Amino acid sequence: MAGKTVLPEEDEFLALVKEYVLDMKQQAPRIRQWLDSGAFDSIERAGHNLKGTGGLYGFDVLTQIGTSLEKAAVKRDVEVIERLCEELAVYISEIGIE
Amino acid sequence: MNNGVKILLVEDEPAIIRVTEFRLTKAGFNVVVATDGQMGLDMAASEKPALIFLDLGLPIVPGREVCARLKADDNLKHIPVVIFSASSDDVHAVSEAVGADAVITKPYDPEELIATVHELVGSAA
Repeated sequence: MAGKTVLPEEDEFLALVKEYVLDMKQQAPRIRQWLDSGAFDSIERAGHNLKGTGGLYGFDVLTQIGTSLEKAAVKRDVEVIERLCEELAVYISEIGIE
Repeated sequence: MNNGVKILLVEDEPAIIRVTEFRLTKAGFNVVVATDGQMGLDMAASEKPALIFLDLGLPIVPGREVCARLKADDNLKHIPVVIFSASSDDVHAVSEAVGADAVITKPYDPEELIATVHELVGSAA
């Protein structure tokens, strides 16, 4: 049986970043679904999590979007949520992760 | 480095668990994870960690109640608890109210994370 592959530290972190970005690619569609169903609590939680996680993976812009998204969800501000959702989708799509 | 000092991370967000476990493990700590408040209380008693990172927004038992219960337990109250929160508004007031030892706001600076452990665990780490 093959032994566990040990990656250099930077490669290990890059693997975590890739996993995070792949998950975030699903986030804008999820938020749009929650918006359609009026699930503002779910959007607030998503914003809160984005705020807490973005910067940890080197994406301070995601922390900024998450901060604004959480506030917009609390205010039930549909227009701002739609704009932030679009910003999130565009930003994630432009990250060069295979 | 850091002699495998045991740290309990009580956090329910997978993306935060993964990166925090990575940072702490790379610094030489032994990390155990609980994903809800009740699990955190149970593991604090069974694992006897040197320090606990505790999220506030936990399922089953909220983080602030977990901290209050830890600090009311004679067998566990000596364990330093670091409130781990993405809410910056009232987190320091909450921390003080429940007797936590420190606060780290997410997203945290990785150096601050490790420095906080050293500060609270002292020579053991």
